[in-house]
Amino acid sequence: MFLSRIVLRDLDSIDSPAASMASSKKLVTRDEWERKLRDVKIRKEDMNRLVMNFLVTEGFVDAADKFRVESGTQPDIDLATITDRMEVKRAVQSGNVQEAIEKINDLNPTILDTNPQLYFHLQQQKLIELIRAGKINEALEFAQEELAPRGEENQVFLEEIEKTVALLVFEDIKNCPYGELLDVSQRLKTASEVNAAILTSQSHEKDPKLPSLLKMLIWTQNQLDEKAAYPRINNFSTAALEDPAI
Amino acid sequence: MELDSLREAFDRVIEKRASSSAKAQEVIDQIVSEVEQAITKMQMMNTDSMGTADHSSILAELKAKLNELAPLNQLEGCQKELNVALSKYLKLLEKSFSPDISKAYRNVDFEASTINSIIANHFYRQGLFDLGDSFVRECGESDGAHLKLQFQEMYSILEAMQVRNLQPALSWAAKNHDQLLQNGSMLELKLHQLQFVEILTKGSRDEALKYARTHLVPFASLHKAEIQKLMACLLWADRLDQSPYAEFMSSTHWEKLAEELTHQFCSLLGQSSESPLGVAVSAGFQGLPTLLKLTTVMAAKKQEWQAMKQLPVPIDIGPEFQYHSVFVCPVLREQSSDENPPMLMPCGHVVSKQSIMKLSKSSSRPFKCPYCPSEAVASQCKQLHF
Repeated sequence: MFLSRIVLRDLDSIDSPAASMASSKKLVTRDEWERKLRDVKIRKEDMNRLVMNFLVTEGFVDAADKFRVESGTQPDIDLATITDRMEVKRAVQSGNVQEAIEKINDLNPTILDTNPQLYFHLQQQKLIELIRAGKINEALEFAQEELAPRGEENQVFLEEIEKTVALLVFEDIKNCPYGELLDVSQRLKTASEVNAAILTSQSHEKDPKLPSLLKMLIWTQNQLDEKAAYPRINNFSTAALEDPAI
Repeated sequence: MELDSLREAFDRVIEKRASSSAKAQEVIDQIVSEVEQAITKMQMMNTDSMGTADHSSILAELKAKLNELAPLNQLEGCQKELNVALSKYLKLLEKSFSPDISKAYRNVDFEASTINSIIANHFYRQGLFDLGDSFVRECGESDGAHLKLQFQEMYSILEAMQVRNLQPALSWAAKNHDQLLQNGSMLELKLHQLQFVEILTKGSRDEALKYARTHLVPFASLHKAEIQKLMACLLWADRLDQSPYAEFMSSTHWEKLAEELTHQFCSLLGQSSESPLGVAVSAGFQGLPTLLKLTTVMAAKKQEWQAMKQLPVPIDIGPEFQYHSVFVCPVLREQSSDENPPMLMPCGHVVSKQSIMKLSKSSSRPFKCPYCPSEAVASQCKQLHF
């Protein structure tokens, strides 16, 4: 935010004296750009807190603990709760849905009660795991007792049930129109939903701040593109400045 | 309108007949009663050993009472009322209906064997196989039995469906799989759907799942939505009638499917799904009032309508009897006919032959298209056939 504000202000001041050049883009050289960047001061403590926020939100417990020791930055939540959350996430990602449900209820019994959609998706994932394991009768019994009543109440749930149960009609369930339900990505999707719900229940943002900051950088660059040619960052993993096109 | 008057007159006739009948019965009862009384008196007198003079007095008394009753006068009154009502009804009938519809009949020479063949196939088509056989035998036709076997097959399939047996229909659909696909018909999938629901509700969930894996999978890629709903039915196997899919159990599916099968069956035979004889008779019924009116007008004008090739008035019998396209010439504003067919000009526009004759001065000169700047000569124009 500060960065974009400073840059925009400087560009405005540059444009003002030369009114006749207002219609064309202002060219900023790499040397000039780098000099302006050096004038922007960011405190190390703020950077450390950003990194800690990312590690904590994404559940990198060991890394967060080491980072705490080395940098002296304190996490804003108890790291033990991260461990619990990651165990839940790992359980879902490995297909142990029942274990995940039990752990969620241990953490906070109201999470699933206040999230019917999350609970439905966990039940759906459990059905998927039963089908994957080839336990057809068990899958049908489970779906009949647990999922069918929810489908009667909610049309969207009903449609998801239809897709999931349709897996049963195929002998070769890997290569069928609904095969993506059996992908690891389906587990990851459910796991992410669980993670977000737990974070919300713990009164924390469910998304880390660092990606938000990167998104803001992208937005700011798009705004600047309309006014000036300047050294742009295209590769965010290296953050290398590209020379502007003349 | 007219029918209301007819109904009223008919009801009045019924009313008068009923009252007349009741009156007659009453009069007869009175006469019988008087005669029985006289007989009783005579029998009592016989026991007293009195003379025949007393019998005479009883008879005289009976005669006087019967004269007093005046039964004929009573019956005459009722009978007259009935006759008046009946007479009015007959007049109304004659006014409302044409008593002689044969006036609208034109003597067209049909080939007897063609008519017989049409009638025989009509019987077979209606499932009246014994009647059809008798007809074929009596009129000496042997070709008429050509479609009998096919319609027997169709009716055996339909009869099986009426008792919830889909096996003959499924066999037929599988045998004609490619043609049904070409027709864009979903009959085969629908039959399997019905069978699946039957097995699910009357058999077991496991059998239904096996059936789906065998017979529904081939349709899965093109009909995902249908397959999804059918598989979800497995979760409500024991109470499908209370599930979101209760309508799958509706008996209307069987009726619609029987209609669809009839339609496709006839289509694959190259036949219409309606009986040609039935269609002709229905169309005739609809056209009859106009024709009767026409004959009356023609008679008044001393014209012979039997000889004319084309009717002077249009006969509208509804869109369900429209089988061919109709071309109306934009120049003459007349419908095309055999003598005046539609002609396609080189520019692509169409007018009637008479228009071209007129425009080209009897084929002698090039003429301009009424629609566009193109010029043509009569020999370049081709007759259109719909």
